[in-house]
Amino acid sequence: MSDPYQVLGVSRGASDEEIKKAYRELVRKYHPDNYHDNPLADLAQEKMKEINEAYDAVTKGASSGGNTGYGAYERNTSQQETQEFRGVRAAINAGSLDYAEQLLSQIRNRGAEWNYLMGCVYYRRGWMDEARSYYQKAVGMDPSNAEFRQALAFMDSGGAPYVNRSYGSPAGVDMCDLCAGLMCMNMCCRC
Amino acid sequence: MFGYVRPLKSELKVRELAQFEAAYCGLCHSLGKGFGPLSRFTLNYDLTFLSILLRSGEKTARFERRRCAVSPFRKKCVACTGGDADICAAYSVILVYLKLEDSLIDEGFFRSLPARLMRALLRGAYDKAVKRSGNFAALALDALRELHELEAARSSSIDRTADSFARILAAAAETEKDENVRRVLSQILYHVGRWVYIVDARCDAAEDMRAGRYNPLVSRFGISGGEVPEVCDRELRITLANSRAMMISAFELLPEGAWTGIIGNILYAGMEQVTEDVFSGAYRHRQKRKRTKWRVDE
Repeated sequence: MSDPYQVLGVSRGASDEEIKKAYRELVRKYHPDNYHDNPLADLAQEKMKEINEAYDAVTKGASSGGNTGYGAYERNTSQQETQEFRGVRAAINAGSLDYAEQLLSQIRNRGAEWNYLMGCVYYRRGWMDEARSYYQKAVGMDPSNAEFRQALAFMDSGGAPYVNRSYGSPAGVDMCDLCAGLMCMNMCCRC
Repeated sequence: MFGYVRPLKSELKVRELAQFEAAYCGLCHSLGKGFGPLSRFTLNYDLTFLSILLRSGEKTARFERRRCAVSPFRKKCVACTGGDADICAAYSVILVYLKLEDSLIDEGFFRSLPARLMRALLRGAYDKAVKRSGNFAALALDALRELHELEAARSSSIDRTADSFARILAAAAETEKDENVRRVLSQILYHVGRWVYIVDARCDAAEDMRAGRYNPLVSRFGISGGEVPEVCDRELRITLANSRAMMISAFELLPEGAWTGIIGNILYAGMEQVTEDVFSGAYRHRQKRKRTKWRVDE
């Protein structure tokens, strides 16, 4: 395993406060919300695991250990998920976009969920304009569905929240902003 | 279509600026050495970015001091060439040559004379580059043929047209050996390509409309009258922001190296600035001024 201090980007003599700060900044960067439906989500997940392990290793002496850390990756699947679309969702999650699209083209019931999943396929492919049109259609057909609304809101806010910070000023954020930001992110991007 | 991907110089560290210039010179030297002095005219910012991105695996950057025609007396600091660093020169020649061919289609005989001349002069370099770049040229030709078909059919999908162009850039990541890094690079390059295509289309939209030429954005939004309405710009901003989110989230997964700072500057700040300038019209205005200044100087 690589040096935990190096993973967190702090020196060996760093104070608890510094370590915590570095850790939180990293968590903010690699948080699952930033890699929502991203084809590289698996790499971000690995990175997050590495960061959590490093943080655990560094703080082992101080705390009781076994810190599960922020941002454990769990997919929030919709409760309304229908049988018909289970195969499509599995294909999308596995990254087989062509197969998912083929499955979708065979489905006759082209309601809100069908449009949403088409949007997911295009989003992962990087076809942002089409993806957004499909998400809009899905929300139009079923405005009460939180999953569809979130997907559209995520795109309209310009994608990953971390990206929208101004360049070169990550140090100007205090802990309050950080916590509030994480809370907002949670509200915006998940159920 | 070239020159959109550049750093925001005011935000670069002094060291990073020197590195960027060294990479620029490095690509120029690779071009001269590999493909003859004329190929040096294909040098541009976008390909410099590509060469930097392909160097992203370097933990420490290596430099050498060299003279050139532009700086014959004082030696300049140049990023080391040779080996993998030279492949970008081949890409550069191929892309500029294909771009020249592309511009011949749109123009009349006399207006296209300079492009014809330049193409004839670059022919030898192009043939050499095709041989050295594996199947990059074949991929690029295929994608461009597809793009021409879409343009001829006046496609109303910006995703489909941008995809052909984006795939060409993404193909440049193929030489990377580490699979995870290759995925990251190809994701960055795909969205850089997509962004460039759309930004370029936005930049030319008004002129294309007046000249009656095909423009993907004009077809997509069904606009006419010579101006791009605010509603369309809002949609375009969203689609561009999402592409940038994709490239930045990919960039954050790239292992830290000697060039990380510059790449970050270009993706976070440089492209942001160019996007703003293109939407406000400042970018086009600047390009025009540069061109007219050239003519006056002649």
